[in-house]
Amino acid sequence: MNETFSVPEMTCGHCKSTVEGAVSSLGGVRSAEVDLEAKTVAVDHDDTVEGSVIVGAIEEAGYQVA
Amino acid sequence: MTTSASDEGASSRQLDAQLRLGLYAPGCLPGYHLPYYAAADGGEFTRRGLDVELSDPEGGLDTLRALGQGRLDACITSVAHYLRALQEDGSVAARFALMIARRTHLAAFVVDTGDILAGSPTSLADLDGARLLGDERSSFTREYLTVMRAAGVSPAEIVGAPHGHDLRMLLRGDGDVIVEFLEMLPRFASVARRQDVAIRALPFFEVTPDVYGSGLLISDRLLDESPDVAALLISALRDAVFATRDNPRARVPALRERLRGVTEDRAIAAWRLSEQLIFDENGAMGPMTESGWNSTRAHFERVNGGSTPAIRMLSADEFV
Ligand SMILES: [Cu+2]
Repeated sequence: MNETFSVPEMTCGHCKSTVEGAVSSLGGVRSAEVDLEAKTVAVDHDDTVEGSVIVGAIEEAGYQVA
Repeated sequence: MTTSASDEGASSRQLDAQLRLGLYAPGCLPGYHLPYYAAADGGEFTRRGLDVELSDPEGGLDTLRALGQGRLDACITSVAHYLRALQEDGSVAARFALMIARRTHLAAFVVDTGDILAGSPTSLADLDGARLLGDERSSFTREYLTVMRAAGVSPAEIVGAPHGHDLRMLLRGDGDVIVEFLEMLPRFASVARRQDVAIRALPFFEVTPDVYGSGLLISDRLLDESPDVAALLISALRDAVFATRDNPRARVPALRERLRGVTEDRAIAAWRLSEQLIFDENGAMGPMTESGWNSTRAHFERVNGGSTPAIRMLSADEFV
């Protein structure tokens, strides 16, 4: 399933790799792709992963989810 | 690029030039980049007739390649990236014009329990036996191991942690140390605070004070074709850094215009950390010297192996 999260604080390539790393290292996540222009991360995951777990991983990498 | 001289006062030369200036990791080092947004937005660049477009093109090494290929006129780059590009490509068609962070940006981050007697680390030398959270192949990990050896601390166990996941693992106690830019402390501290944990940063410059951090690299093309513009860029940048030292808050609105997610407090807190890397004890910017570059290159070679081609820099009296 595909889900998109809004992360307004992402502004550069380093943010991108941090957030992609935080999300893609979760079990059940197939891919995570940041769009810096849109300030979103698109996550492809199976149904074992709750959205709140993804939000938690992003927040624990230092970024607020809007 | 079109340049046309105009005389606005005898002492301040002014040109009308469009420049593309690449910034590495602007959002992650918001304080460090605080001088440049206001400079481009009616400040030191604008007043000299420099229309400067700021960008974070592709990050890291790609920024240097964009410079070599003429897609950028100048960039503010980490010294490690510059040396890596030299190693990989043999040369970069640009010269180092101004050292801004005369000390390395890297730091070790640890949980601060506040209990020194119980071993809460207050310096890198306290990290004997600490478990590093990181990717074994990453340059940050290699930097850490090299700096720890220089500190006389035995190499630590490495707990594999993907980039972006390491802070979470640190807070969970899966390891004791992570390595990041010193200026990440405000971001990390705010995450930790939500879990009632304090984070301390132990800057690598404690052990390697003579390793350069980052600065201004200008393309050969700009230096050769428009030395006047290059000279203005250097002096504007220097003035912007000092103006930020004198009044950082005045620079925040222009930064927030471009980096909307950054709060004023975080930008100022990060700038205070950058100041430790930029200024000496007298509030001056350190000079860029041959011997400084030699120790920086020697460190880089200890970290990454191989040898680095000679660096190219402007001498102190060129262009200024
Ligand atoms: Cu960033």
